[in-house]
Order: sequence, then structure tokens, then C-alpha cells
Amino acid sequence: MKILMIEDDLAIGQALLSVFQDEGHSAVWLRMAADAQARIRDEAFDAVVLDLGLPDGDGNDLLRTLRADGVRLPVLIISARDSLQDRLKGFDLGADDYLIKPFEIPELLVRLRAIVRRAHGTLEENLWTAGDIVLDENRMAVTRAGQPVTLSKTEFALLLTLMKQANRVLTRVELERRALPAADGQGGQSQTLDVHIFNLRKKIGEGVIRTVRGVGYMVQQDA
Amino acid sequence: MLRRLANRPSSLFQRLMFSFTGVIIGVAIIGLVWVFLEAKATQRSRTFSENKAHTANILAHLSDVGPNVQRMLPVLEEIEANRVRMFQELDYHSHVRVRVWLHGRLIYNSAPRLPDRLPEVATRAAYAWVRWEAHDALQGIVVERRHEVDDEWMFSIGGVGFLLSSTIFSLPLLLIPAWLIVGIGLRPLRTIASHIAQRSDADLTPLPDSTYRELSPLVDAINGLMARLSQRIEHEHEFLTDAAHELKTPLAAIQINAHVLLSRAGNEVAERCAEPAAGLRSGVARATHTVHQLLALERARAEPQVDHPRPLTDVAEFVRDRVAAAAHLAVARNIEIEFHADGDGSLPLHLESMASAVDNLISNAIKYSPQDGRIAVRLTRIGHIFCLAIADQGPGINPELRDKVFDRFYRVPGQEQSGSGLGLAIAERGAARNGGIIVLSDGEGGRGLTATIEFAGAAA
Repeated sequence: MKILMIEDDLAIGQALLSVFQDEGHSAVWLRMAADAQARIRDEAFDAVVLDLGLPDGDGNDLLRTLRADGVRLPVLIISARDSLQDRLKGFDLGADDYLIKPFEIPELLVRLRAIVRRAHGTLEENLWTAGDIVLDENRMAVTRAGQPVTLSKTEFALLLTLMKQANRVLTRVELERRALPAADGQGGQSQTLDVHIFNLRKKIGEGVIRTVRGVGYMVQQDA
Repeated sequence: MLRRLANRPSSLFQRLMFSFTGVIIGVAIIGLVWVFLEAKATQRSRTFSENKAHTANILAHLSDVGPNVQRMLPVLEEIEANRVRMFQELDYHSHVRVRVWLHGRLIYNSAPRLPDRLPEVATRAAYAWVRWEAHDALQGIVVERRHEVDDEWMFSIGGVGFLLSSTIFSLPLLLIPAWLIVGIGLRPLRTIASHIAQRSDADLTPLPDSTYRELSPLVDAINGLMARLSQRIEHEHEFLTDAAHELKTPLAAIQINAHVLLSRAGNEVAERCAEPAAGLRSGVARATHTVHQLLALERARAEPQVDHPRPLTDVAEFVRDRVAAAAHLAVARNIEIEFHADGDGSLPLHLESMASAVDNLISNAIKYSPQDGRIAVRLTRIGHIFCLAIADQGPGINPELRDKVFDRFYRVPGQEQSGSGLGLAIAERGAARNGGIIVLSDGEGGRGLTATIEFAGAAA
């Protein structure tokens, strides 16, 4: 993919350029915000990696201008500014993701791929795995060690929610809101969630869904 | 309190009271001197006039009876007897001598025991005498009257006592109201002092304006100092934040370059360089962690001037979210983490600082827990105070070190876990910003450590 990187720091710019090249991406590196608009108009990029503190202006202003001009290119902000306000402002102005410096390179690459995928709306990568469980979101099918497992609609929604956010504990409230039908679970009938989880565990086997007592449930990616 | 009194150099109250007493005494002394001088002058002239009148009176009586000694003497004796009676009634103690001459011969002396010559001016041994003579040249009668001027009694203890008695008796009547008035007058000063004394060291907001014109300069000066102080602290804060931010960019560069270096090295080199590569990675990670913790510490600091409105937050839900966010770290090390919400309710919380307080305590618990250990997070509520206890089964902290671990960059000696040494300092600040304190105690069953945040929401 073709990446436009706007970063004024020489050391970081050079190093990131090497990373992108090693990964087989083509990258254009700009050090000024002023040059960016023209390049984006003239060339077809897949994503923008944007630093906020630039010598001729703030990256946020550039982002605002781009979005106002109708540029829908996915933008990943990389910045040392780590306060909640800064991050929220970035998202408000239309950033697709926000990474705080310093960051791990694999994380940068994964997030970059994710925002490009989202922008293209591709359905190809809607397979989720955790251990020997594979969930195909498009076909609504689940297999365990290659064997198909039949799940109810609610059970599938629960498992999908948990697997999409694997390695993260989801609280009961979050699970009820995202996965349970409106008639179910809402209004504090918490046992309903436990019943669904109990049934789900029976079908896909133990050791996939972990309970964190008093908090919620999680699926471990490499269980 | 006692020590403070002993250290106090001098008392404004005493100073005012002493001055006031001094003025009273001064006025009394001036009055006394005035009375002395005046009495001395008037008594003499009064006695003089009295002598003149009496001698004229006696002469008139004697002229009436004619120059006959036998007839003059009873008149003189009666006059003297009248005088003695009058002096007794009036309680006068001064002495008088009357002498009468007829044709140059002394025929009467009312006080024959006194010496002929009596002093005109007072000496130490005797009072002064004022003298007057009246003559009847036709009948050859001379009347002399001498009157002792008793002006020295004023200088005696009795005299001074009499003159000062009014002042001495009125002194308590003046000083007790003065004591009360000075006390009332100084009360606003004490109020301001206690305002300042009750403040926390983080509170640099200006004092309320004094309603007294005399105290305004003091209040203004203190407020000016507070403003300069908070500005200075603000500068220091900005400096630290900027310094931490500045470190991030070079750290990012090191991290990215390390990645490029290792990914380009090829398998054989990568294998040989596995150890230094891991060291490099963990070094960068540790520096990054410290930078983030420094920023978190600065962010948890209370900023009274720019405190944002605090949303009313469901405390149990808030803690559950924090546990959820950290739980994957526990699960990865097979540590059982559980949350018990035994109390619920809502509080106005400063979310970012409260979250960093809770997160740091949970992350400490996970970091120091043994593999397969258990962490219990328990929320209870006593009245309006919430207690969030996080108990682990780790090595715990020696009771003597439990105060010290809150110091910045202090780390319990002899441990293998890496850390910035800032976690508990951040947690303490975050808790303080939400009106809370952190108490460290033994873990459940005497094993490990329990860190408890007791908080009641931020003071409005």
C-alpha cells in the first residue's frame, strides 16, 4: 500500500521510512504540513500517518482542512501528546486511529492495515480465531478444531463480541449492551447473560471463555 | 501550640495593652504634677489672704474695747477658742500663732511654746509660715498672725495616695474594657492566620478579601505571594511535562530503529543477538514507562484554577471498568482477579486521576502477585466514604517501609520487578485529588499486601 507520512523529526521519519520499505509498502515522507494538501490531491494514497507537532502548523489543523475538503483518506495520528483531551480531539477531527509515541512497530503496522481495511469496507478478513476456535462472521459459522459447532443467534453474537476483542475483559454491561437482544438482559436481568455463557461453554468446550469474577468475561486469543 | 507560643517573639496584644496602660499612667502623673504646682501656689496666697482678714478682724475687735490689757485679753482668748473649735470641726491640723503688742509691749501670744522666729520657707524639719501684721497707730496696737502652710502633705505617701487613688481605682475599669476591645480588634488577624494555617500545601487560591481596610495590605501581599508561587509551580510543572514529552521522540526513534535493525539482521544474526535485542527492547520499554508515569504523576496533580466539572460517576461501575481494562494482564499470568462490589453509589470524580490511582494499584498487585495467585478487589461503603481495597498475595511491604514507598522514585530494595518507582506516588496524588487517601496494610490472611483507597469524592 502507498502511505503518506507527515513527520518533522528526522530520526523518526527516516526509521519509519525504512520500516515501511521493509514491509513492502511504498511511502512518501513530508516534513511540512503545507506540502501535504497538494500531494494528496495529485497522488493516490491508501493511508496518511500524521504527526501533530509540525514546524509550519499543527497536524490537527491539517486534518481539519483535509476533512473539510472532503478527503476521506484514512488517517493515523502518531503523537507524543498522550492526554485524553488530545486523543479525543484527534478522533473528533476525523482521525481513524491515534498512536502515542513511542510505540511498537508491529502495533503501528496492524493498526495501519486495520484502518485501510475499514476504509475499503472489505469483507475478506472477517475470520476470527482464538485457540482452535474459528469464527466466520460473514457466514455466521463457528468451528472448533475443524468441527462445526451450532450456536443460537445470541450465543453467536456473544462469541463474536468476545473474539473481536480477544484478550480484553468485557464487563457484563458491555456484553449485555452489544450482544444480547434488546428484550433480553436489558433491565438488569443478569442471570440471562450467565445462562447464555453457560450454554456457549457447553457447546464450544471449557477453557475458551474465562470468567473474571465480579467484572465480566474474556476470550484469550492463544488459549 | 505551646512551642508556637514560646517561639513567638513578642505579642501585639501585650504591646497594645502596655501602650494603653502607659498612656493612663502618664496622664495620671501629669495631672498629679499639675495639682502639686497649683496647690502650692494657691495655698500660700489663700493663707496670706486669710491672715490679712483675721488680723483685720482681731484689730477691729481690739479697737472696740480700747487699749486696756485687762479687757483685751478675754476677747483675744475667745477669738482663739473660736478658731480652735472651727479647726477641730473642719479637721484642720495646721498651726496658727497670734501675737498682740500694745505700745510696743507683747501682751498676748496664742502659742507661747513656739520659738520667736518661725521659718518663712519650708525646710526639711519644719513647714513654712505665712505672716501678716495689722497696725492701729492711734491706739498703739499691733496684731501679728502666723499660719503654717501645710503644702508638704501632698508629697507624703498619704497625700500622693489620696491624689492617685482615683486613677488607681479606675485602672481596672479602664483596662478590662481595653483588654476586651484589643482582643476583639485583633480577632480578624487571628481569623486570617487560622485560614492560612488550615490550608493544604497544594491550595494556593487567594484568600478572601478582608473587610478591614487595615488588613487589606496584608491579605493582598499574601495573595500576591500565592499568585507568584503558583505561577512558579506552574512553570516547574510545564517544564517537567515538556521535558518528559521531549524524551518521547528520541525514545520512539530508538525503538523504531531497533526494530529495523533486528528485522534486517537475518536469522543467524538475530539468534546471536537475541539477548542484547531483548535488553534493548526492555530498556526502551522501561524508559517509556517512566516517561509515561512522570506525565501521569504531573497530570494527577491537583490544578485548582482549571479544574474541570466532575461528572457524577457510579463508583462500582467505574472500578469494574478499571479491573476489566487490567484483567488481561492478570489472566496472562494465570492470576485470578475478582471484584466484589459490596457498596454502591455515585460520586463526583475526577476520572483521569482516579483512574490512574486505581490502575496503578491494580497493576502493582498484578506485577507482584505470584503465578496462579489471587487478587481480590473489594469496594465497600461506610456512610459517605468509599473503601476500595486491592489485596494481593505477593511479597507485601515491610510495615516500616509503608510510608517510604509513596516517595517518588523510591523502590523497595532487593526486588526483581522493574518499575519506575512512581506508581504509588501517582496513586496517592490521584486519590488526593478525589478527596482520598491510600492506606497500606497486610494482605488477606496476613499474606501479601492490601492497598486501600478511602475516598469521599472531590471536595467541591
